[in-house]
Amino acid sequence: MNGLRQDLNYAVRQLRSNPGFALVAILSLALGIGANTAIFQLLDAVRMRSLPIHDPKELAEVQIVGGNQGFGVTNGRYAKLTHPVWNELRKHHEPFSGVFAWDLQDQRVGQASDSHPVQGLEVSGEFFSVLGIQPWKGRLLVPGDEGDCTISRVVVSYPYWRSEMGGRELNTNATLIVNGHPAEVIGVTPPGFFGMVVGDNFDIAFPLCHPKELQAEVFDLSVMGRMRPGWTLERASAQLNAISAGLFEATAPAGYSTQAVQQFKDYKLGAFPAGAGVSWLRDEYDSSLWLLLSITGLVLLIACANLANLLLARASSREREIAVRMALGASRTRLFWQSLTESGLLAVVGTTLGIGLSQLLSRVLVWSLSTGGNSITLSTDTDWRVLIFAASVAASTCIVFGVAPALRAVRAEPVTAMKSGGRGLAGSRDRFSIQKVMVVVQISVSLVLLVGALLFVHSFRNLMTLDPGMRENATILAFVGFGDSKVPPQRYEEFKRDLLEEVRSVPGVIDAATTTTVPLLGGSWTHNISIGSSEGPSKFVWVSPDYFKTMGIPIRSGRGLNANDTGTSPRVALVNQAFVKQFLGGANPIGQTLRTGPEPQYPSTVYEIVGVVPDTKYSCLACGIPPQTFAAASQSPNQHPWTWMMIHGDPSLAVAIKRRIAEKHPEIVIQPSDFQQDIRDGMVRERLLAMLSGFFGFLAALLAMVGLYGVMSYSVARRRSEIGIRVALGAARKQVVGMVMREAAYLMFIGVVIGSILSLLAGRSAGSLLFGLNSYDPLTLLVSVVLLGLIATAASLLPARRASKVDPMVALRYE
Amino acid sequence: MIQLKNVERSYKTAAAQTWVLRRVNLEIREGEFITAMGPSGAGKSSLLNALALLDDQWAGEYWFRDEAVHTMKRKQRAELAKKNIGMVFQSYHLLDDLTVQENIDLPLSYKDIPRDQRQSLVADVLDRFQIVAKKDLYPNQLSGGQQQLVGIARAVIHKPALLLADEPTGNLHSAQAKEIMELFKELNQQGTTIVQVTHSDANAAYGTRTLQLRDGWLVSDTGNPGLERHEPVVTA
Repeated sequence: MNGLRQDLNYAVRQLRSNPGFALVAILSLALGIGANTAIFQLLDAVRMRSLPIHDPKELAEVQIVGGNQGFGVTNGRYAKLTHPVWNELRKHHEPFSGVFAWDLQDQRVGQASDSHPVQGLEVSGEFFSVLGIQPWKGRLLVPGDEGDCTISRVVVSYPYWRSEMGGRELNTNATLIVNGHPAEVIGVTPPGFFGMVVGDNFDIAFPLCHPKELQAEVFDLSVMGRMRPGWTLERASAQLNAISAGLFEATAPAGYSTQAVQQFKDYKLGAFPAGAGVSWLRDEYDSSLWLLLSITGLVLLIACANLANLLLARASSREREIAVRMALGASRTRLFWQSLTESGLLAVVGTTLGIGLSQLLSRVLVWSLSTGGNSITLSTDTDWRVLIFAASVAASTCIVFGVAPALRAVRAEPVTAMKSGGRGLAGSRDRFSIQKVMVVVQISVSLVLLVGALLFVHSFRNLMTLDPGMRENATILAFVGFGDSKVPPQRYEEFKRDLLEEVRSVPGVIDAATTTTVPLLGGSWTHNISIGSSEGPSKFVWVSPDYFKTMGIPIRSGRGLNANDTGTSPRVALVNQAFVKQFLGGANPIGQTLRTGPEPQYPSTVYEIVGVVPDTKYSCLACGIPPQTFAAASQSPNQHPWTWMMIHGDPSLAVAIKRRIAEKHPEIVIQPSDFQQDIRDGMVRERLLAMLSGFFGFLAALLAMVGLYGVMSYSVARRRSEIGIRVALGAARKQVVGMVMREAAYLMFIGVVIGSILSLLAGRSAGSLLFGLNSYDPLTLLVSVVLLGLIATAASLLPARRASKVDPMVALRYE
Repeated sequence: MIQLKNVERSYKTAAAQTWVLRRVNLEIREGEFITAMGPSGAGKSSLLNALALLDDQWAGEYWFRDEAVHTMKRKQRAELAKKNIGMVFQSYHLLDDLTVQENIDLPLSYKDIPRDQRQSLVADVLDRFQIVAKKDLYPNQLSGGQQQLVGIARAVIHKPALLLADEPTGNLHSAQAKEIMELFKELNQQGTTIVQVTHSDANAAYGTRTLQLRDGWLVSDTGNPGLERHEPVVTA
């Protein structure tokens, strides 16, 4: 015990007397462990962790095998089935002991103009019982609560109850105003339950509404069930497959072409694992997170190489000390344990710091995934499995490279070791070669990371500077809902025109227009069209006449929309150039007519093409440009008591606009936002990749620089006598500098060659995540090599200068 | 050839200033073979380092062929040494990674001499020192005597006017030492001025003049019988 304490004291003293060594070693360890654990924690939380429910493995989702392939209207990110299909499954679910349906629907809580959106979870009555969730307070929803489409009772999540209701006891007065109507809060879910979506905590859960008219073409529900004992996913899928024909026959929507209806009837259902819930984060970030984990894995590799180098250099410089200790009677076992204590201490301190760093990093990561309108809730609890893995790798590096040379030293004869140690410069060459190999590994891996970082930064920059063909800045996007305004449907369009006038009257507003689909934010609306002998899908949007002016889209030929295009006049539309190219082979489209295919509420209609607009981006900045058709809002076959407004004006006008509408129509819900910011919020993945790969690329280069510096310093120290001789024999200072720099350049060259090959190979996996550039971008490779070259020069210049200052007299005295 | 006037050298430590050379006045004439002797710490090697211009922290005057070395800048001194001085070390100081041939070529590689000419000079020296057969061997494949032979060959390859040897036979047995000293004698007879540091009276006998140093003071010089005697003084 005394020996251990003594060794520990000695180890602490050693680290304190070499603060540079200790700092670099501990930081290398901490960064490697911290970064890996943080990324893995996020990956684990998003991808691997099960829902916090009873026996999650029994949970399965019922889906159409291969998806609905764009049929009908898909309403919601996780919606897979229609209401009629759910009604059938509720009656026929042999593989499941219980089934439930759910969907996400944001609701507004509070009095109309002061209301704010909350994350709503619409659930069938079996939801909580099938999941096995027990109430934290009050009771949870049951089948008897379903029916009314006006939300009259809700269950709130624990975080919502704590933050918005102050955690007060529930009683008959516990109500919330949901969409303008009072709703009783009947219960609170337990603290760990966040709903079905990993990363999105629901605020309120409310009963599934039974609409009077079922829309058989609207896919707006997710259906899940708990499998009966003995049932597997395969068996459940087989059973669902067997009932599919009858089920889809019974629920097929009307109003479509025979061909389209047949497509619906041919759907087959299957059972898919759902124990890990659903997650847009998983869909969106899965490949990015794996890529980032690979990047941090490489950073750990560099950190370990750094550690190995440092420890090798240190162990070799202590051979004489070990020899003296042996000569003074220390046993080999004792010396071995002393080395182990020192390496162990380094590993413990580095790992402890790594744990702290991982917590910080994972919080930063979750924060960086969240956007203004979309906050993400993920458990960032330490994942002990990965922490232990990363710590083991780093600690093994520490111990192997700290103890192995010490072991070799204690095996040597003290006299020989003292002799060579006394000369201070006579280490064997093979050990030094290991260090050079480490540096080559560091340089090549750093190059891979630097190339990756530059590619992602470049890709992000391409997106940020891309011209989408329309105005992004100085534009306010506003959702306007006037369902409570008691406006008859035939006056919806007129009412929207009046609202536009109200908005235009706000000082500073330049223009305003309505649209049924907002560009660049992921939305999409498609109709099959036929024009002449061509047919196929075209994006469709109904806009008010000033839309093109408001969005800065010029009319290329023909005319725009105007007030004469009314509900009773002939249907007219503008198309984009992609449309002209795809359907008309570039021929003049003006005066030609297109016909839409029939769909429920959207009967087949003939539109005359009156104008052409240039191609503009549609769903997202990185997405391709599809054929687009712009029709007059006043001629839309389906009018709604809501609209999207695009307002040309400074985003700071949002408050004034909201106030102006509220003054005249307090019942109207208006949600304005900065359009450009909304677009940028949609580029979280690209930003995250650019930010993190940039950070880790920089970190890798920094670690490689430290590694190269260490090796070159060590080399210079070992070669001090040689350098002294060379100076004594007439070598000029610059020749000495050149000699050291040449050695560094040699290592750099090998590292760059290997790194370039690895970069090209690694580029393949990142290709799909890049925008506007090739993963084999030679310019990026060149810039990375130059950057790394500069870093390597900086790292070796100091040792080289030190070498040039070697005093031959002092160096030769070492003999 | 060389005149030292009141050359002094000291090292400052935290506690005191230690003098290793005190007011050394010395004249070295062309063609002399001088031996510097004295106990350890007498200042022999310090004197040699000062003469070799490896050390430039001394005070006093140093004249080399009527050129005032003491007024020269570091680079000029290095140039002067490169042209005129050769060094032989007790531990040979051959570079382990270079062959015999490459070691001998080393001083030439630091001069602007064309490669062909260098190869020819190295070949001459290898032949002259009768080590042609060893030219591709590495130092650790040679005996001590052979290593020192290479060390001397390296020191004289650029035909220096002054050859400085710091205990050149210190690591050799007597037969090898004799061989090396015969070589020095031969070089001296061919016109090279030599200054050697040694503890060996037998080696000193090869020289034409002997200096005795004590505590940094030059206390006797057989070439200058009228040398003023100084008592060693240790300053705290």
